[in-house]
Amino acid sequence: MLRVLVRAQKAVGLSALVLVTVSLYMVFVYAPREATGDVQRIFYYHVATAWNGYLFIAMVALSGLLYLVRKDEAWDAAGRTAAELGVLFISLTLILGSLWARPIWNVWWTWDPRLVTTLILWFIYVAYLLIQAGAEGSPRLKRFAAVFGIVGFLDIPLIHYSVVLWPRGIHPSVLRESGGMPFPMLLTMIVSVIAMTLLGLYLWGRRLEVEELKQRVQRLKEQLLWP
Amino acid sequence: MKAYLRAVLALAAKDALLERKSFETLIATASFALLLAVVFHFAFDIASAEGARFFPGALWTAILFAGTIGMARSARVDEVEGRGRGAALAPVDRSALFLGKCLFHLALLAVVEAAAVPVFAAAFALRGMALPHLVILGLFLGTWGFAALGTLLAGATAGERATGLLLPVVLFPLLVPVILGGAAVVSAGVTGEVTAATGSWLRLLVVFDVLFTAVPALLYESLMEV
Amino acid sequence: MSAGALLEALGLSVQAGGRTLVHPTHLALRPGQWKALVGPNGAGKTTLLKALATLVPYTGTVRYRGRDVREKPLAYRRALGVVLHEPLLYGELTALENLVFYARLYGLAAPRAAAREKLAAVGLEAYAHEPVSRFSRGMIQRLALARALLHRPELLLLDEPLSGIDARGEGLILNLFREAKERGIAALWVTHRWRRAWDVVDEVVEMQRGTLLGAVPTAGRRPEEWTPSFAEEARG
Repeated sequence: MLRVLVRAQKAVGLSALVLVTVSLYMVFVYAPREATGDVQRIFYYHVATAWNGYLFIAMVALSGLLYLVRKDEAWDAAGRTAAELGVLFISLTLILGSLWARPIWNVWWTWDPRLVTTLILWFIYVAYLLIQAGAEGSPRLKRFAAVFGIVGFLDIPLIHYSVVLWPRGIHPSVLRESGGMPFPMLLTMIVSVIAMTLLGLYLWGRRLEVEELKQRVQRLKEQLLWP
Repeated sequence: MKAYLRAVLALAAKDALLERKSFETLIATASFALLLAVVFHFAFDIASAEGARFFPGALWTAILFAGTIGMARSARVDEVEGRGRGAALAPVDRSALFLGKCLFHLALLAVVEAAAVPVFAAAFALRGMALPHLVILGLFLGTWGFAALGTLLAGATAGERATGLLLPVVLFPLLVPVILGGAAVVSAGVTGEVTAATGSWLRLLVVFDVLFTAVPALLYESLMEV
Repeated sequence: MSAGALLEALGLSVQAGGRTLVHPTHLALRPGQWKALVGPNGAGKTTLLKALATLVPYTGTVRYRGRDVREKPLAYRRALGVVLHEPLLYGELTALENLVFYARLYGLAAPRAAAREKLAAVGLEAYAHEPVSRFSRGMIQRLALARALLHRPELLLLDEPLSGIDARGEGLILNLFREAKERGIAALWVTHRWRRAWDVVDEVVEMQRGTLLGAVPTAGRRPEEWTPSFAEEARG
């Protein structure tokens, strides 16, 4: 599966380029101007980055499980790189959400359950990267990172539920989209999500290739040092 | 099954015996928790009318801070000269190592809480608790989840250089349901305002406890080898 | 492979951090057979021993009584007595408390009695209530051996069990080894000092750079008649 991602990166990259261009056009030209103004257009990429964040976090957990079972270094690299992208996309989600919230809600931040869950998620996967940062050459810490990725993923629904249940100080869930979206908006959103997903997969493929090269360099070095 | 339980108890008893030699971990953990009661009392300048509102959150914060230190220390006990491996050689599933440690941590935290609750009640000028049973239940369920995840993460980071730094950073975000749930149930127990949400909190805590006892037990063997 | 083997390693190899520490290795032990594993530092002896003790991830197969130990790891670990370089003892606890803990962990019927018996067998009964942290290296090594023998294993994996031991302690331990061998216990004994092991073991196996080189039977031969290849290398 990882091989495919590395091999097909040209195709993935090209389709990402095309779709991102299309989605830019759709977001800024095709989609109608909404009542809240042009700032609403942030929403399309906000949703797309959020979806990508969750996708890569799921990949962290999946890679971790496969690493524990198969003990193959490639899955450790997959988890590590997926977490980097996950944190990147969650950060973008938080920033885009904040940019949108400022004119709409007149605040940069609010303790809405979805925002809080996303923020805690960000903390969890930054912690994951901290574990991985010290794990170079330590199989034990790598396995710990894998376990942490799995446990963190399983914790997400519980965290979200607990944040929703918390009664004090949290605004009502404003983000809930009311009813259906007009078709052009829905289509723009879908295209943006697909474009961003392709872009994410392309970045992941490139990142995995770098890891592969690193491992090859390492192996060559060892062959020279330990003939 | 019987042999498995006996091994879990033997492991927990070994940790208790080690602790009884010096009481180092217990004294450090408990005194830090009590110290926090004093710090919170002055830092937040609690008036008696607000005591009941801040008591649950402050108590849980102290339990988490002090408990994290205690568990990090106790996990290191088995790292000295790799002696924890002796238990890994025993003819018992290695998840017993996790459950034994978890049981010991639960007992350690129970002792710390038994000392901390009255002191926090005094520091926050609490005028009694409406439903003490609910307070104890909330503390127990929250502590169980905390001990389970704490044992897993403290054990995994114990052999590493940056343990003290890493453990709270990796542990606390995962504990959000325990912190919120534990505080909500203890709060309901103090004020006596039991609502439908209290039941949801209790269910959430039970799910958290069972999930994060079972999953680490399953993953512990692959985590600990080498 | 060989019929009736107690322990067999088939193509066992160990990788760590991209390096191969033990190259695919075949090794077999019959019931009651003792083999010494000798070789220079860094040859992979300890790693091989730890892999056989299922403490280190390995590839290949380890069979105990013809069965892959991954199928029944608990039965295998019950049959296994291990002495590592680390004593696996808690310095804060007394000798007796250490052994009682392990006896309980192994599910022995009378933990205290079993612990006392083994303590006497290694000549440490007078120190039963001393914390292990006050023990000399030799005493610790004897206690580690008592721990390994506590549950009456069928197979011993020994990593330098004589290191740091004085002459009296060495005689005591060698006697224990002979007794164990008479009772039908098999052993793989990692050591630098093959001459000390010569009278006890049936075969000396040489290991170098992660590979087993060959085995020399000890029967009818004196240790002086044999020189391992790494010793020649060192001399040459």
